[in-house]
Amino acid sequence: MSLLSHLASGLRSLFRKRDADRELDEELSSFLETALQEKLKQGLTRSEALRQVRLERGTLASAHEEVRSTAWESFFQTSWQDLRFAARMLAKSPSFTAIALLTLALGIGVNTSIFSLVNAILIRPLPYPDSAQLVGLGQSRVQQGAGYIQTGVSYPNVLEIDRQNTVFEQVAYYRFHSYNLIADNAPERVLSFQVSAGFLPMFGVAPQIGRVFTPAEMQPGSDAIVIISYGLWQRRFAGTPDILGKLVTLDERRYTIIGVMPRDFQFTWDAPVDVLVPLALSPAETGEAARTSRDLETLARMKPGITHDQAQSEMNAVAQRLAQAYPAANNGWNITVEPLHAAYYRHLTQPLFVLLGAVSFVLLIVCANIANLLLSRITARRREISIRLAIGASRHRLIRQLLTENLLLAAIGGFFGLVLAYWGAFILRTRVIQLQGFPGIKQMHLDWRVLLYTLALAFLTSFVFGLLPALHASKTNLNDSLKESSVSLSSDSGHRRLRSALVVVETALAIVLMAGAGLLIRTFAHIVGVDLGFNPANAVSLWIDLPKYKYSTGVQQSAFFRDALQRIRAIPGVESAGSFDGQGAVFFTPGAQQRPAPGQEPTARELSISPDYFRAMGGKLLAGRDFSAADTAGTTAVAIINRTMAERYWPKVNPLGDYIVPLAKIYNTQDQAASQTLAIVGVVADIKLSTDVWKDQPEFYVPAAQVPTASASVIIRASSDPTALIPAVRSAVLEIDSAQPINHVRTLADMISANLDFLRFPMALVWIFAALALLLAAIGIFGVMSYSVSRRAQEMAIRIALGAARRDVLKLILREGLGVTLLGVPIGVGVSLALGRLIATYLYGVSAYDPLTFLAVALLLFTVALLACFLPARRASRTDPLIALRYE
Amino acid sequence: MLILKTLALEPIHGYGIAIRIEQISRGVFRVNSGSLFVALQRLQRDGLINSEWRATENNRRAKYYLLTDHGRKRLNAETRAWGRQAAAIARILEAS
Repeated sequence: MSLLSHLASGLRSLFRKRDADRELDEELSSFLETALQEKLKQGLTRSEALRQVRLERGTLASAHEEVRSTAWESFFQTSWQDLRFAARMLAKSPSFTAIALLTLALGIGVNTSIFSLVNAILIRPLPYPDSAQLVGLGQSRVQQGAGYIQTGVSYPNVLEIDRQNTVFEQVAYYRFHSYNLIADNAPERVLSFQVSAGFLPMFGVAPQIGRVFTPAEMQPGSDAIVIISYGLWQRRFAGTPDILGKLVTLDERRYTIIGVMPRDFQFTWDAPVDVLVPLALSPAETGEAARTSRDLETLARMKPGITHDQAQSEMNAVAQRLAQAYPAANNGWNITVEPLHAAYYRHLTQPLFVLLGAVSFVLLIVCANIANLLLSRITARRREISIRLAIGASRHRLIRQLLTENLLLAAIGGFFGLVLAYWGAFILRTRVIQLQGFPGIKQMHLDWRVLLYTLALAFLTSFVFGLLPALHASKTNLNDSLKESSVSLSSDSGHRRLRSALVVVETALAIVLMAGAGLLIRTFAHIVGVDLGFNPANAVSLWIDLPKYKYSTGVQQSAFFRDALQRIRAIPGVESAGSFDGQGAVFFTPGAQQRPAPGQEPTARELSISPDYFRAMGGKLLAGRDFSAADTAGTTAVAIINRTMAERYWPKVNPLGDYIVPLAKIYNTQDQAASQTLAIVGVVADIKLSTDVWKDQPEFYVPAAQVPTASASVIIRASSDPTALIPAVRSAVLEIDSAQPINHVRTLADMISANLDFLRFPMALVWIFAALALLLAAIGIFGVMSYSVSRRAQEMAIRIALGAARRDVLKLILREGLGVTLLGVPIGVGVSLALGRLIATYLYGVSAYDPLTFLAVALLLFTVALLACFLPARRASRTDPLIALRYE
Repeated sequence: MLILKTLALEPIHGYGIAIRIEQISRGVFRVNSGSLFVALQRLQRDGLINSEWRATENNRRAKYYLLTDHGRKRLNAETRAWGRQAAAIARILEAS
């Protein structure tokens, strides 16, 4: 009851302030008037009566103030007052406000952008229902030379897992495949998943139109049905509503469309998957021989209440049972259970945290800047504060008012920061190619977590770093500060030390960021400069994928490619042409050595190439010979190894004449052709075609005639621009098979730059952070120097009046400013060296302690600091003594 | 409590309350305008007293305060409590 009336009367006086004040004033003045009358009646003079009334009963103003301040609504009234005052004060010093807001906006904006990225990828759960229970399964072993290997699961093993487990509600599996898709006579290459019946239900996602697959459709013959992606539906079928029942041709076989996936559905980080087909395995693929084909990506949904540890320990037991039951295939192989979220983002966790760390450094610089600015401002306003305290403001009220200013700064700066972050998140979401495939990316908005983070940041920087100066200011010795003129006081030196300390911290942090950036930039330069082992000029690559149902035997496949290459070589303008196809990683035994123990076998990548491949690539033969037409299926099995493989497994010995004995493919044992002893006939320099060019990988080549493939990349070297020859190449292929397209034509130069593309985004970030750090440090130094000079205007004027040359004043200020910077540099370098280990994994071609980089960074910062000090120093030296001495 | 007691006799305005308290306490309590009106505001918001504008003896406008039922009950309760406390303190002081 009383609460309600409290509320009611409080609200009344809040919104009817003038009426309430008037009423109170009326009552109070009537009270005091009556008291005065009483005194007069006692015979006192008017002035004496007034004095006594004031003493005994108080004054109107003070009584009014007392009554009002005990009411709860006064808090809001005074806060509103504070806010308006704060806005006025901020508007009165535009340069301070502008710098502070800019600094805040930059710091908060950058941090929030990066945080929203981290949020979308690492923190938020995958966008599927109950995604915490989804896990990825794989087979794994630790392998000498290759380290930890994880592969898919083979079909017979998947069946065993499904049969033997008690922890999974459902097990699903799928396989990548690409098809030639033809719809309305326009061919296109699409990426697809061949999925088990339980795949879509396990994700809890239903097709937007149509239905999912049934288990009966997982048989060869019943599997001519397909679910297409939303993108494909819009792109090739114009989003027509009666899409169900339409036909598409995949690899010259007709499939009926039975469903369309929802728009935002994405479950891979590779290129988008356009087509889902049932995984219909042939008898050969399901029999015992397939137990070593570890090529099925396997997922499972754990039962409610089951933890990852429980699932993993059960899978460990299952793996052991499998190894005992089928030792040839499963010995040494474990079954790993990994939360799906981690499986997707495993390789991103560390880089993202490094990113977050870097951006936090930027934030620290921002905090130092803001603290410095606020400190300077408080010191400048000390006179005003002292006067207010002297008049009678309570310290509590004063601190509240100062904090309100900080809060207002924080709010506005945070708002701008949010705008910046919105824009930043937009850029990340749409322009950065590497991130496009991640399931969480499309939903990378500024959600509540991000907003909370922003709020916390804004609060932290402005409020917390403003609290200390505010508290300090309220303790000012009134006498001293009221007497002061512009001459520096003893308490000032404490402030000055603090400000200098902040600048040192800022400088050190900037050095750390810039040193890291410098090392990464040099790494990038080295990566770009790596000798790739081939000549990218005037060469083009294209893919030919022969459909297996038409070219089922190795003989057919070899014949096609032999024929095609012959025709291509005959085209005028073509200098050489060759083909290659990666066969995957292989365990092998070098030479006549003993077969190593399981887990110790060396690994290498196997590639099947045509004769003249090295010529077409412009590669370099180091020893022995290239393959020729004489190397056929009937002659000795031969191989050419690359330099890394030669140096690693035949150190200081000529490998020519020795043997490789391939043992098994790591991932897939289908097409097991190259399993007999191979005689080494040549050594070539490494050819680096993949994205990680800084790694030296052992590779060996086998003739396509002996290891035929159904798909291959064809490399064509021309005497001039090779793209002009493509139509001729296309028709040459069509002459052999009128339904065979060529795909993915691009020049070798484009391929190199596409490979480097994935580094561009991190490099851009590196540049941005380094620039930001430098800019903020410069702003900090500039701000402090500016302020210091303006405070000492009188001192400068006196110096000049007494005869100091303007140049001396300039030098004096510069020396001071740079002295502080000079202190920050070695500290920053020291911290960078200490953190060297963290960054070393990302470096290539440059050590984490590289002195050249550090020197360059220190010089850069020093130069920028010099420039930042120059303007204030020049202003100081231009002080007109007459004006400055009169001015306070 | 003192204000409530004062109002228990008859409704009066602010100055009257101050005078009466000073008279009855024989000058022990001297009432400052600020503290008086702070107390009056609190009591009113708690619902123990009510106010209305009336004309005084000199025909001026003044705010008169009245005790509500709630206030009367509170006054009785507090008076009893105060009596108990005073008696207890007295007993303690007498015992030796």
